[in-house]
Amino acid sequence: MAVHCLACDPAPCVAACPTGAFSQRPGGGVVVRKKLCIQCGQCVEACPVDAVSANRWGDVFVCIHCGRCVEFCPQDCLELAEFAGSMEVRR
Amino acid sequence: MIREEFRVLCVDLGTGKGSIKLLDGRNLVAGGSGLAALLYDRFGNNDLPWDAAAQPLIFAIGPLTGYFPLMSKTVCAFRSGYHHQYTESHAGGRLAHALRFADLDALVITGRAGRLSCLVVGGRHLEVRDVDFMRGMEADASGKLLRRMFARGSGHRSILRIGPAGEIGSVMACINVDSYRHFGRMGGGAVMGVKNLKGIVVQGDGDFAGPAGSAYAKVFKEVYGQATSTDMMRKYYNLGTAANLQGLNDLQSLPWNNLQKTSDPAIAGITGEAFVDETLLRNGACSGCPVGCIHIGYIREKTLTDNRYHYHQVAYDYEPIFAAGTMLGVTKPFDVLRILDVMDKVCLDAMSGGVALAWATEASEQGLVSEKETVVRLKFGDAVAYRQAAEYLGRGINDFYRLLGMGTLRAAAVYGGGEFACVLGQEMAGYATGELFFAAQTLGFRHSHLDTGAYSYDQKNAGRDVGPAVDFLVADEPGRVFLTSMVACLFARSVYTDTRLAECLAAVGFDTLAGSIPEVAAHVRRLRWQNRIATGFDPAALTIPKRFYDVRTWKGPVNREYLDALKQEYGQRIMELAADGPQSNEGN
Repeated sequence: MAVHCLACDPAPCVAACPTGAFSQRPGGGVVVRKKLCIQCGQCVEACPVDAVSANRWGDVFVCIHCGRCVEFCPQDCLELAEFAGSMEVRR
Repeated sequence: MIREEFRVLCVDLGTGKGSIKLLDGRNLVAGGSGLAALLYDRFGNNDLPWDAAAQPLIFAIGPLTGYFPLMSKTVCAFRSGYHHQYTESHAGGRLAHALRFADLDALVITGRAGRLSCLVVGGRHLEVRDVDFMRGMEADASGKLLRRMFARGSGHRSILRIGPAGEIGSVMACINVDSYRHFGRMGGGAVMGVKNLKGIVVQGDGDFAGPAGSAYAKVFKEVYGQATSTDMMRKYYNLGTAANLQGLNDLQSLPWNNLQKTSDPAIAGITGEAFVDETLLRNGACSGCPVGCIHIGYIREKTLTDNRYHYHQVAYDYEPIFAAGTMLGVTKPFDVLRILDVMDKVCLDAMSGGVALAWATEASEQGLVSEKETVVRLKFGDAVAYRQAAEYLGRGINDFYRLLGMGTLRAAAVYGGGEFACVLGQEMAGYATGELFFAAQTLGFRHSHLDTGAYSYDQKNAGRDVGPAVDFLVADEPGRVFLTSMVACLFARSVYTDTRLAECLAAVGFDTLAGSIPEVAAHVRRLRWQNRIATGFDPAALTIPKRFYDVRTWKGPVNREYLDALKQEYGQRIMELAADGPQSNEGN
């Protein structure tokens, strides 16, 4: 199963972040301000789909819906699309 | 663990808290159907509508669950949004064993979560987790995520979830159980939806000592031998229930094209053999079942470039094939599985959905509805159109599909075409065997054809004598009620005779229950009907659409007078049964 941010609203990673490094991005997803991050790792625990990861030094990485993965999927399983046109994310 | 009391976990989704209750009544209601009826009597509120937060959603298992083969089902009981009455739906999977090993005889869920949530229960665990990010998510993706999120107890864990159909409150919404089984009919998925409950995870993480004494091992061995070493269960694990397609077509009892006919030479393309030869990927079994009747086929989906495929596994059975196949005039196994795959993903009950789309097709042919309503042009045999329509129905994309999702007759009341709506109390089961089945399904307590032996009676009796036919239904019901109070798979009804059940109950220490099976069966039957009647059941209010009077079976054309007389007599007998005896639950 591809690991990608589901654009939760409100996002549990934003709620878990104690320093405001994670914030909700208008239109879906999150923005991470590295300067505010203290590498506590609570965002990693909070993400229900493992879309936030940390390296050995505690730096966190999160899917930002950039779509770069789409062109590298050898099976063409991924696509980048607007929510509005998709029945699968009807809200 | 074997105990006289029922150990019940009651969870209030509004607070996220639960409480364990120990209830008396084992020797009056046994468990399963009886326990669910007892719990509804206690927790249900007949003055509130089906979708009120306070209404309970009940899951109950039986005294032999986990102790004997094929005691593998769970009863789900609730007030249905379909007919606003008390109802039961049954499913297998791992749920029954997971509840047993969480040391629960029943789970009662009341209240409404503030946001879309998942309930997780185990022997030492209770949690209501926010999963709002799963809104709109299909059943397969939800299953993958829930397995990852709640990995503990894998192998002893059962995962229930709803799809978009349940979230929008469609009363054709099912509850998916462990991917390949379902609480299908009567809108259990909608009850979860109105409770903001996307999923339920039950972790069977307990461990118990086996029953004391040598009797248990002896009886177990005999039952296991009957289930596996004789031909009693062979038809279920060989071709599976799909084997019935050819037989019922030969008997002119298989609904085709919205029941415009009951037999068609095109059956050759979708027999049980055809499904096995072309699509069968593997078999599966519910926990506690050594037979393995679950037949899982596959479909391939082409990804965006040439010659790259991935496959989906799709379970099939006789009745889903009737609903997504013959009823829609679809005669290729892979086409049937593709339609079922869509229904599975949106968590639309396959039988309700198939019958509803069959009506919509005929309504389209007659000009009662147009593509303005159906969006896609519906035509018998057009599998591509039905895949789209199934998704539209499950997701309720416009007013037409939303209304159709509340019941075919409700749509027919607005658009016309009630005379060819194949509804017998609910969208019909796949047996056009004759008058007794039509009468029994219209009035019977459950939606399942296995609720009565009427389909079998029709196949063996060409006579039109009302008295013996209704006597048969009335006499046949208690045995089935007791089996669903155990909660046995009804495919094992030839193994579990009353004598055998008494031996099994005695072997695990339920001696009193073992000695009173007929009395308990009669009591549970009465209790279930009393709950149903208290929530609005009225035999006189139920009608049989004209289409059923036009059916022709191996016995010839359906006889109107005989069918009407059966319905009248059976309805009267049900009301007499419910009135006979105490009106409230003595066990409370």
